[in-house]
Parts: sequence; C-alpha cells; structure tokens
Amino acid sequence: MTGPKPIRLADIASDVGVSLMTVSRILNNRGQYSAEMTRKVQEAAQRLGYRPNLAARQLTGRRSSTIGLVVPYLSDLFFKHCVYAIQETAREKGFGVLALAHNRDLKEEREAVSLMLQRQVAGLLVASAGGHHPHFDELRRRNVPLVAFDVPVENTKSDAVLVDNAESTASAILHLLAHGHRHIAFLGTEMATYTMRIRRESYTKTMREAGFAPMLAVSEGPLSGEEMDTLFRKALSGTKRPTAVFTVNSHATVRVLLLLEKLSLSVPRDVAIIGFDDFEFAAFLKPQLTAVRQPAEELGSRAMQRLIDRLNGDVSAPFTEVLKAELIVRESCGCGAISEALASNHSRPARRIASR
Amino acid sequence: MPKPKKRRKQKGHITTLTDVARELGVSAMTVSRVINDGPASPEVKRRVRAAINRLDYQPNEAARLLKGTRSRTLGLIVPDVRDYFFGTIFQSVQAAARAHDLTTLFLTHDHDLNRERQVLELMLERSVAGLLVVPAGGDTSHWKRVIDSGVIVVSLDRPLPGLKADSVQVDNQAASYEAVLHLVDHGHRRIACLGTESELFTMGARLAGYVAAMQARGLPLLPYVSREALPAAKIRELFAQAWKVKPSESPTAVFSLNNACTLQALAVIQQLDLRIPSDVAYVGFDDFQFASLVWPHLTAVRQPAEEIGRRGVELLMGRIEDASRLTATTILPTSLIIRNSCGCSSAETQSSGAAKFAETRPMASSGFAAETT
Repeated sequence: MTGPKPIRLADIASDVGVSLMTVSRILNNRGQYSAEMTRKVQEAAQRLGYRPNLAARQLTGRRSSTIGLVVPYLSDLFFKHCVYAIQETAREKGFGVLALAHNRDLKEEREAVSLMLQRQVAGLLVASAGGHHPHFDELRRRNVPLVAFDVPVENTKSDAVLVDNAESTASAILHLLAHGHRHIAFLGTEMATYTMRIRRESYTKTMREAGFAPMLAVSEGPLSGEEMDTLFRKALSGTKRPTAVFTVNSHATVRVLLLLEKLSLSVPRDVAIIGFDDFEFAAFLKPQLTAVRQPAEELGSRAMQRLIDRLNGDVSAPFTEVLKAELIVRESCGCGAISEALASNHSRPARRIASR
Repeated sequence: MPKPKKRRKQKGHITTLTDVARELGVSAMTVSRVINDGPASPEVKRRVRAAINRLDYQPNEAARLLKGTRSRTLGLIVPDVRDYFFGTIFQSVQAAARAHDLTTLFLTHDHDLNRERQVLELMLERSVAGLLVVPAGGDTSHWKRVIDSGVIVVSLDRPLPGLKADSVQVDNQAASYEAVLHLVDHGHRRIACLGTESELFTMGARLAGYVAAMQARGLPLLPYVSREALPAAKIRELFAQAWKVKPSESPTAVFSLNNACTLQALAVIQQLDLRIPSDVAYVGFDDFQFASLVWPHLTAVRQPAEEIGRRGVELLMGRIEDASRLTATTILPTSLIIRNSCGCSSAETQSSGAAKFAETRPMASSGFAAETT
C-alpha cells in the first residue's frame, strides 16, 4: 500500500507543454519567466493538485515544517488549553503539530521523543514527565531546537517557559491562613512531577513559616479515581480533620469535592477549599470554587513562539521565562460565606489577586 | 549464528541501519524488511526491534516516504481541542494510533469551513497515512477531491454525505427525543430548547429530536436556537429571551443542545436567580466531568467520545488493509445520565436502560456497493 500516486513536476510540465526545469523554477520562485507562463504553470499545478513533497525537501537539507509536541495528557483541563494555543500559533506560521501523550510515564516519554526524532520534526516542545533521556542529547546533536514548557527538562540546557508554581501556591495558602485556618491539608497525586513538587515545597514552607504543621495526603505517581478517594478519605475523616484543604490540581479538586459531599461535609463551613487550576465550570459549583488560575494559553503560545524564534536562527543562550498565575477568589475559601453573613443579598463578583 | 559484535558508539555518531545489522550479525536487508513491515519471522522481528531500541537507531522517515513506504503519520482534524467532547476524541485517537505505531498530526478548524480547507492542505503536504475528521459542515467538495485522489478519510461525529468515507456517529435525534420525553414525563409542558448552529448536522438532528418529542405529546415548541455560531455574550442574550415573556408563558424546563450552550445557559439561569430544578428543570446534551459537581448535578446525554475516536482509528486501519470494503457508518449508543437537574431525586439517580446497542450499517444505498474493485 503506497497511497495515491502523487502529482509530479513532470506531470505539470507535460500538461503545460514546457520543460521540467521551467516548472521547477517557476514553482520555486527562481529564474525570470513571463507573467503569462508563470500563471499557466501555477494554474496547472493547482488544477492537477500538485503538492510540494516535503519529505524530499527534508532530504535536500531544508527544514521540515512539522513540530513535535510531547505532553502528559491531551484532554487534561490544563494541558488542553496549552495544546490549543500551541496549535493556533503553529498554524499561523504554517507549521503542523504532531502530538503524543506520555501519561507521566518515563518510558512512554522516552518512546515519544524517539518517535518524534524518527518523524524528523523541525523542533520539539516538551512538558516532561521528569526524566532525562539520551534522545534529548540527540536532538542537540542534530540541531533540533527544544523548548520545555510547564516542566524544565532535566540536565539539559534548553529554553523553558514555566508558571510560578511556588508564588501562586503560597498566595493560596496565605489566603486560607488569613481566614483563620490552622489545619490546612495538602492533597494531591503525581508528586514525582516537577510542578507538583514545587507546589508541595511551597505549601510546606508557607505553613512552617506561619508556625503550623504541614498535613500531607499525597502519592508519588498517578492514582485511579478510587485510589484517590481512599487516600483523601483518610485525610478528611480522621479525628484531626483539617478545616481547610488545598488541592494540587483539578483532578484532585474534583475527587475531593465529590468526597466531601459523600461525607456530608459542607464547604466552606466544615472544610474550606482552594484548588490549583481554575476551570470554566468553577463558577457554577455550589459554593463557587476559589482557584489558582494558570495562564495556560499564554504558556502554550509563548513556548511555541520561542521555538519559532529558534527555528528562525535565534542563537542566544537558552533562558527561562516564568509566567504569573492568579488566585481567583470566589466562595469555597470562605469569602462568599463572610459576605453573605455580613451583607445579605449582596452578591460579590469574583476578585482577582495576582500573586506577587 | 555469529556472535554479536561489541557495541561501539562514539560520541556524536548517529546509529545507522548497518550498525543495527552488524550488532545482530544479520544483513542490512533483513533489518530494513523489519522496519518496513516486510516478511520476517517473529523472532527476527523481536530481536531487530530490541536492537533498534538499544542502539537508539532512528529510521529516517523522510527517506522512507520517498521510497513509497506508507507514512507513519495519521492526520486528525477537529473543531477545537479545548472542548471536552472533541478533546476526549483527540486523546483517544492519539492513543489508538500509537498502538499501531502511528503518530497523530492534529489541526483544528474552529468550526470554520475556510479554515478546514486550509488545514486540510497543511495535512496533505505532510503525507499522512489517512485522515480522521470532524467536518465543519457545509460544502464538501474539497473532501471529494481528496478522497477521489485515494486518501483514506474517516469522518467522526458528523457524516461526509455521499462521499466514500467511513463514519462513526451517534444517533443524535433519538438521544434528544429520549431526553426531552424525560422532562415531559416529569410533567413539564413548556420546555425551551436552547442551542446554536442549527445548520450543523449534529445540532440539526438534536433540534429535530426535540421537535419530534414535543409534537408527539402535542406540546408547544419553544426553540431559542440560532442558525449560526455566536459569541458567548450573544448566546446568553438569545437564551435570556426565553424568560422575557409573561411569567405564565416562561419555560419550566430547558433542554440545551451541547456543552458550550449548557455553560451559557447556566450563566443565564444564575443571572436570573432561578433555581434548578424547582424554577426550571434542566437536561443537556453532552455529559462532561463537571456535570456531577455542578449543583444540582446535571442530567445529561452522554456520548461515547473515547469510543468514537478508537472506532475511527480501527475503521481507518481496516480501510488501509482493504480499500475495496463497503463504506460503513457506525452508530454508537448514547445514554441519558439521570442526576438531579431534571427533577429526579438522588435516590432515583441512575443511567437509563434505554441505551441502544452499537450497530454497523453498510451504506448499501449510497452507490458504493458496486465499487468492489
């Protein structure tokens, strides 16, 4: 199976009745030909459905115009926005995007990067699972630019576009502390991942600095929904139950909210909650969810733009760009409850606090 | 069998096919056959693949394509990856394709026909093994040209009418009919239908399901549905019209045609300070991960998004093996996930038993039956 027979330059040449060289020169904008001849050749190329063979171009040393994208998940609430922006930015510049998900698995990531090399991508965007692979060195040997986003690539000097996970986590924890909470638990999975690790470190540091003991309910790797329930249920139902929780990502937020309902614990009266990652339905939950909003689309478009700059010959030293996240204050942290108590019937619009 | 030679890998040296052959003590031709899916014993295949991995050999895709070997890239065109339904299809296509050693090249058309034509060109320039597409709708002449030239195309969610393309869909009209009747069975008589883009195949079918259910019970039609796509603010304006009537004439229940409409409808309901389900009962098309978190939990029609993607890849692989097969449309079952927004209490919460079984219908009437060359 070799697919449809492609239209060759020779087919256009015989159609118009000119030499192969003439067709080649006109379609590649070389040489001087009459407007009439140029129009004839272009018209025939279009009518016959001619497409320049990118594979052949690659062999002659010209760059491929396909970008490789390796991410943990494609349909994830956070990554789908990054992926969307990457694709939009790429398409505007005439690039196609090959996408692979590694599911936060080092072996799958290694395979994905290897596949991208095989596919001869012009450049690679990676939200790493955290491993270092020889393939990353191979990229550099072949002069294929690499841009890391969300997570830096281990032991590799490359451009990186990241979110300020530490500052935004600290601002969320400080917000809960300001509401008077002392027993604030940190719930989440995939702690082996860079972003999750930073969030945990920032939580622990903020709690210690305030003079309170950290309460962690976490797992190193990904967990199934049921496993998450078991882990979080233990943290939420002991005698030393937290009065507030911080969830590390939207997966954890969703599980915890469902669990709190099952345990008949009311938010924010029994347990206040702030989640990392905002999502479009957060304002329709009852109470409305207070959440850290990451600039997912900006992250994606900035990363893609950096890759395009590199492909266009920017040879300056690799550098890391850090984007701010903001705390979207709604009700689940306790703010709505206070406004209801103090000023009944006064509905309060969401406030935004940019983390410093 | 000669003893495998010691692996010598110098810094900066790129592993070649010859290196792999030398390592295993087999001919370069044997390695090449394995890489290009030619004949070789399972044992040889296994050993060659293991050596390829061990030595980090990267076959040159561009060179393979020039030799006429089939591309290892599968193309996917969807409206928008941010949408829960299309995003899930994307993830599932990518995973299913990978199981066949194919990588997924994806582009989005944002529900725009011109954009669809543009991204189709981008796809074809990159020699894909086949294309999966959720078509933007409207004119399909560009698809006809592509399919006639021999490119394998499978349509998802929506058909490519009259073209030789396999398709995976759900029965939108029957699913809507069932959902609307559920509201009628709760005693509602004034049920508004909120939606956009009635010109689209899926939206048109869902609207038709609403109309059929209402007419079957002799109830008045209250459609607030635009023909075209609208920005969010305009959608809210349109939906709010449903309540800009005499209180005795305002709807007691609403049915929304997709996820995006649900989001805007909830905003309108929140703004009007209406309570669900006591002031207005609610059923939406498209289930999503927050339907069970929104309070009250939303009753929704669930489409098997993951399976739509997986089946699409299967159909495409089948077509690569046997291009002469009859064109088939696979209709997958939907289910009405009953939660609380419809007026059912938690105790009644369940999935409806009316889920239809998957059926694959050969399109005998479409004129392709004769094309068994």
